[in-house]
Amino acid sequence: MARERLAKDPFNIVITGVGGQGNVMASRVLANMLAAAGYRITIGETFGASQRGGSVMSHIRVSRSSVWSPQIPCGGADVVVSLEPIEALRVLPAYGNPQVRVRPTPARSIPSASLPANRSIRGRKRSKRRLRACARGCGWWTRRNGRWPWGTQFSPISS
Amino acid sequence: MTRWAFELSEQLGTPVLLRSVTRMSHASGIVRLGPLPGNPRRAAFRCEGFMLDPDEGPMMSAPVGYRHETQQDRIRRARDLFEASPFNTYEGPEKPELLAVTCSASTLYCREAVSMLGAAGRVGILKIGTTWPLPAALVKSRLAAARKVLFVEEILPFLEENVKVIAAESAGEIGVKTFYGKNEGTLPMNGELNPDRVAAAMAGILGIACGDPAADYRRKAEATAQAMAPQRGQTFCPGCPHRASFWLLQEALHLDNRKGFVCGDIGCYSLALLPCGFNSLKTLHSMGSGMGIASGFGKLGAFGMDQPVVTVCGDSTFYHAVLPALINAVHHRADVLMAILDNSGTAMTGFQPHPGSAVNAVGEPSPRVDIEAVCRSLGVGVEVRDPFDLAETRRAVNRLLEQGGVRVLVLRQSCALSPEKRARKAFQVRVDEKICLGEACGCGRFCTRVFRCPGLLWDKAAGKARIDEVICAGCGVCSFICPQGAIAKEVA
Repeated sequence: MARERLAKDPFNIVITGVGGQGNVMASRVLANMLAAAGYRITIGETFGASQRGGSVMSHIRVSRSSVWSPQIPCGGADVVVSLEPIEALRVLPAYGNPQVRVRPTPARSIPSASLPANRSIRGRKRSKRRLRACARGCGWWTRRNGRWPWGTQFSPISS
Repeated sequence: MTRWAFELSEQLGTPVLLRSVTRMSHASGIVRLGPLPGNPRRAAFRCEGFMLDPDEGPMMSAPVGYRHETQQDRIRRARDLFEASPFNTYEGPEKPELLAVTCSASTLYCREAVSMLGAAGRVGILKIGTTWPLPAALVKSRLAAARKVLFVEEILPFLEENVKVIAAESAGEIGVKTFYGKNEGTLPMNGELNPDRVAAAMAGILGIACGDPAADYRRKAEATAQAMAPQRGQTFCPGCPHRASFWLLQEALHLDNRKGFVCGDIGCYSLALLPCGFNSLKTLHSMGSGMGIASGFGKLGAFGMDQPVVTVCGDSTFYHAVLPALINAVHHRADVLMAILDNSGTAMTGFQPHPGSAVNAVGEPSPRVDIEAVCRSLGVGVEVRDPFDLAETRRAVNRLLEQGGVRVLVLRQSCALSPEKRARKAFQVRVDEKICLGEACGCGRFCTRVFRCPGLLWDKAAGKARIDEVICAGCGVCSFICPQGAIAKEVA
């Protein structure tokens, strides 16, 4: 059994991103590392058309003592690791909760409890700025000048 | 369990199927590997016994009555072994309020649901590892201890129906039970199970209220995701040869104006159902089905059908599943144009070798089976074109569309992700801003609206098209489709 106690047992990690970024690889590396440290691990992968450029997600359940289901229950994520900022937003309705911290790589953390949907336009703008700041950390994003390859703009919220 | 399945197979002299449903094939966990058998037996086929000898006699189905009896005997022996199998487990109180009968990954959903509801003292979980033949005595003893029974299993209600037979046969002894599951609708018959669905089912039966404490958060998160996360449309990769192939096929069929259509099957090219493949595919089923269905359509000329029939398959699929259908089409003289989208690999699943590769599955050199030679041996005319040479391929497609009988067009160009192409562009592609008329052109952003390669961008500020140099694979196909000729390609 692993020596270190977990903040919560089972500890639930979602790794999300876009096909081709190394999402599955990242979940395998993390899970192998934790397994080597003596934790019980279960991974569940996206299935269906998980293809290059498509949304992908892995669930990792970490426990000291028992094997848990390969699917995290609704609202049960403790950490969401997003290799692509937009994908974090897509994961939150099903697996997020007011305590979960969303950390798009490589930097910055947005408390997901401050989701702006029901707030004033000003609140939305602030959140948009925060997300853009996160996005700027990714070279992949900035080179696109705020645009998706298929031509959709970043945010449909008009200012 | 896999190891035990092999031992069981040896012990009973019968094949044993390891049944993996739904999530089992998309999950991983910790496996402890045991030692490999040190001294493997020499492979041999024993067939020297008397005709009725089940071990050494000839392998055949007759005499039926006798063989059937030995099969029934094997099933009885298996059932006796399963009664005591450590893969059939029970956890929970001895007299549970609700008995959950489950198998495979659904066992984990049951455990999770019981933990979520805090119902460990009320629910018993009977996990059946050996789903056929069922250990009847074990099932009966657990049924006797509970009045309510919930079946939790993926796909068809297999456990549900067979446990009900045991319950009916022993109703006098164990009493009448109330059953919940897929048949009466407590759990859905379609879609995948998960801990939440199982928890909701258990909560309903046990009368536990389970509201969503974070409903407000979830509503906000949903609204934010809808407002700020654009949908990722499925598309071919930049530089994918399929985009060029379907562009040409769809263009030819459209201009031909006889309402021709394309029958497809399973591969990356299945995406041609969608706008990225110009909605070319009109039928899509299992591997090899495109040619099978097309050969049927290709015989409907006798009943007045004059629509050209086209089918597509990948190179790997050609060897795997298309050959019998192709032979059938040749034999029955169907009118079909088959385009083999040869991207030199099993691209969708990670470039595994196939019979057209120079190496086999274990990496040993192996003879290549030549697609053209195979087709020619069937008496079929074969043309080979490069879909990136659009003008030449267009002529070939138009010519072949006019002919009758079975015709094969091999569209050969390696996958954009193939190891041999990696990080090498054939062309430097750029939009000539002097020639691109932008919004004033009248094409209505043809390149990004219709052709839709992810490497093309519409620069709103400039009002013109632009190449995304980061992801452009340098195939140069877009230079062919711009009506203004504004996309220039130079050999890189």
